[in-house]
Amino acid sequence: MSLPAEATSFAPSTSDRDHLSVLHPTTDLPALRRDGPLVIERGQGIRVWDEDGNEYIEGLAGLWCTALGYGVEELAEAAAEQIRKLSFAHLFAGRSHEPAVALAEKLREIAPIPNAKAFFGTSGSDANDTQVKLVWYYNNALGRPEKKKIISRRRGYHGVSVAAGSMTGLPPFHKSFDLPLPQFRHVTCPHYYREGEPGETEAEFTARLAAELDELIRAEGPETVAAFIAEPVLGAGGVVVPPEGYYPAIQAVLDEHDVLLIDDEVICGFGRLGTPFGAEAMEMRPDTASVAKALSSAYLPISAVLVPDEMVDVFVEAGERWGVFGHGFTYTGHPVCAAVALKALELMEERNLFAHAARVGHYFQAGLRRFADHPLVGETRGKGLLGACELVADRQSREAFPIQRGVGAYCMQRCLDHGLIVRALGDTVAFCPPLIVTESDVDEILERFGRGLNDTLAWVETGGAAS
Amino acid sequence: MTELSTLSRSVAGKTALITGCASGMGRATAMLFAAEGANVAATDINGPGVEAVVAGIREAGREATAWTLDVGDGDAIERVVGEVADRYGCLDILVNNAGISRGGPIDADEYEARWQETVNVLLTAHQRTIRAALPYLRKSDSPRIVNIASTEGLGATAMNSAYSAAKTGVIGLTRGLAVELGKEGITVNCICPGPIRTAMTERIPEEHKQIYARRRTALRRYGDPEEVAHGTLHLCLPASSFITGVALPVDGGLTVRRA
Ligand SMILES: NC(=O)c1ccc[n+]([C@@H]2O[C@H](COP(=O)([O-])OP(=O)(O)OC[C@H]3O[C@@H](n4cnc5c(N)ncnc54)[C@H](O)[C@@H]3O)[C@@H](O)[C@H]2O)c1
Ligand SMILES: Cc1ncc(COP(=O)(O)O)c(C=O)c1O
Repeated sequence: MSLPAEATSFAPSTSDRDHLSVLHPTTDLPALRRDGPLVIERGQGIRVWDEDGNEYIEGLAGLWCTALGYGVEELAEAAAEQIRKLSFAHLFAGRSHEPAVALAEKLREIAPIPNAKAFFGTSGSDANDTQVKLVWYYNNALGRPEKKKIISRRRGYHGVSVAAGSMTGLPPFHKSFDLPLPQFRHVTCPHYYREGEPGETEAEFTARLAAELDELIRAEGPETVAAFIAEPVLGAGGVVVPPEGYYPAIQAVLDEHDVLLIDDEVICGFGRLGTPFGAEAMEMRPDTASVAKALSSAYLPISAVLVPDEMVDVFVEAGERWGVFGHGFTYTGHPVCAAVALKALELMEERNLFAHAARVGHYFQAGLRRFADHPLVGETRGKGLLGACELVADRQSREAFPIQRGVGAYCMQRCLDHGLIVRALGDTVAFCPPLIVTESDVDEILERFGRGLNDTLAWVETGGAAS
Repeated sequence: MTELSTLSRSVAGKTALITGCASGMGRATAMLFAAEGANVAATDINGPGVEAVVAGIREAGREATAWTLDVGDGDAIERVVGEVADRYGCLDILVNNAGISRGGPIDADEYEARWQETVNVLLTAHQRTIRAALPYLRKSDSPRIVNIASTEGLGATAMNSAYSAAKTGVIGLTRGLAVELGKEGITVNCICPGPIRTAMTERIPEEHKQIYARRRTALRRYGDPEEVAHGTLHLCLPASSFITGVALPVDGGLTVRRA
């Protein structure tokens, strides 16, 4: 609740009150108890301010999502207008409404798969759960009920709901949650720097990973493997850009075994990698795709699963036998979310945002590479406006710091102190600024990061928190 | 060891004028002073409220009289102070307690109006009651002035600048007059209450009060009005004759605790 204006003295701040009533998502809970939260109060452009009035550049676009930045009047207006006109309508049982149809049309026009229909949700996780259910339903309809297994990659991130969490390949999302479910398999992360063997070229590495996938599918039995899901560039697993030729090699294996490719565009979609979709930047030829986050620039929660007409035709045929297609959310195609997403996509087009992001993305990547020689930095990597710096104990041997030393977390905290929000994924510091950043914003981001990084080096050199 | 002169630790028989007695700390102070045997001139803008407090005191067999007084009204102050002196024949103690809290950001449209009202009630009123009471205090053998400021006069909370300014002003007024009136034996002190359970803080939910107190105060709790009244009483004792010009936090350790 917010307090009446007269009662501002002797009342706890938002951060003081937080722990009483909020269970935080994806959080080091003991650390939160100890240190309290950072309370963000308002945002404008690429910047946000905390409850004490400190300014930060949002170097991670919130959670990789606020592509158009904060405070866009047109989006506020689109939401207000739709709320006034029709605040809710659904798509169940033969209903429809203009905002959902208009957004689906727009997506069909730009989607990374031909002739796409949209199934709407409200998050990346539910989109990916929907992907799994659609693939299962599809294979049941085609009379191959054993073809159900889903393969994803270690360090991939696809969300946290039961199926999406099973596809995610990061230990905290499995450990103690009884995941993954039995139908899910994981293969090697296409991170050459970490997974490449001594003396192995990138091409050899790629071939090895394609062979691994092929062996796994054969071992499981191709008739039991339904789909492979991949983020074009892995995001939350540490911003991993697969080597050139990786997707064509993988795709050949999938094609051979009649396994679908699900493209998780939740981070990469809408200009992040310098192309409209990540699939285009990474030479992927997906069968279906998930989009969310930047779809509405995170002004309202909305996601979409894009599936080709042919797949939907199969569902329609199955409906003749099975009756109702029993999948949908109350908020599938929520008219306010849809209206805002459509406006966001229109603004991106009007402002030529993808081309802008591609240009500034080059500038950003070049700037980021300048940290490659820093004594703490093992690898700088990324594509477009998605990037990362991996901090290591030994640049030569690529030896990581002991994870409990918290070097990445320390660096993230120092960056915060210098007015930059970044995300530490282990000891990898990730960047994903709003797509509206300019070259001079990039300079400021990298300058603030440089200060945080140098503070971290000083701390590491003086033995900070070594134990 | 020289013998103690045993300075009086009682306000019995003294006449005390207290503002803002209908609620909170003012009410607690009026009740405590009356219980200690003082004649209490209890005043408040809320007439029925202050009358109820006085009725309670009388029921307990103690002495008090109620006056309806808006401390924002300078003429009314003059009149009421005169009436109090007439009624009791003297005036020994003045406690400036009445207060309001009008928070809000500096760029709010209503800021100017809030500022005027805040400064008028919380600060200007203090010098007016003091000026009106001074001729009578000068005749007392242990004249005491206590102003209720706030820890908001020592530090500050955002969105409360007019209040903070006024309370800081109260501390300044206290210090200035302590020096100016010291030669006449009049002591002038102020109390800086921290978080106290009164009408002013009533709208802060209990759970929020507890969180605040645990995180910010040494004693880990909100204070009660009576605990502030005891601080005021202490400064008004004849025995407190060498204490002047202080701003005494009664705040459960709020100002000394660094988070
Ligand atoms: N409650 C706290 O936590 C706290 C902390 C620090 C300081 N203070 C100060 O303590 C003093 C007492 O406040 P409280 O907490 O007991 O609040 P309260 O609201 O319980 O009591 C204030 C009293 O002052 C009276 N009043 C208001 N405006 C008046 C006016 N113009 N003329 C005469 N009387 C008027 C009210 O009618 C009320 O009876 C105030 O000066 C306040 O600023 C309170
Ligand atoms: C690639 C990818 N897929 C799915 C998700 C899950 O999205 P949500 O958090 O909206 O459920 C995320 C979230 O970060 C993501 O990065």
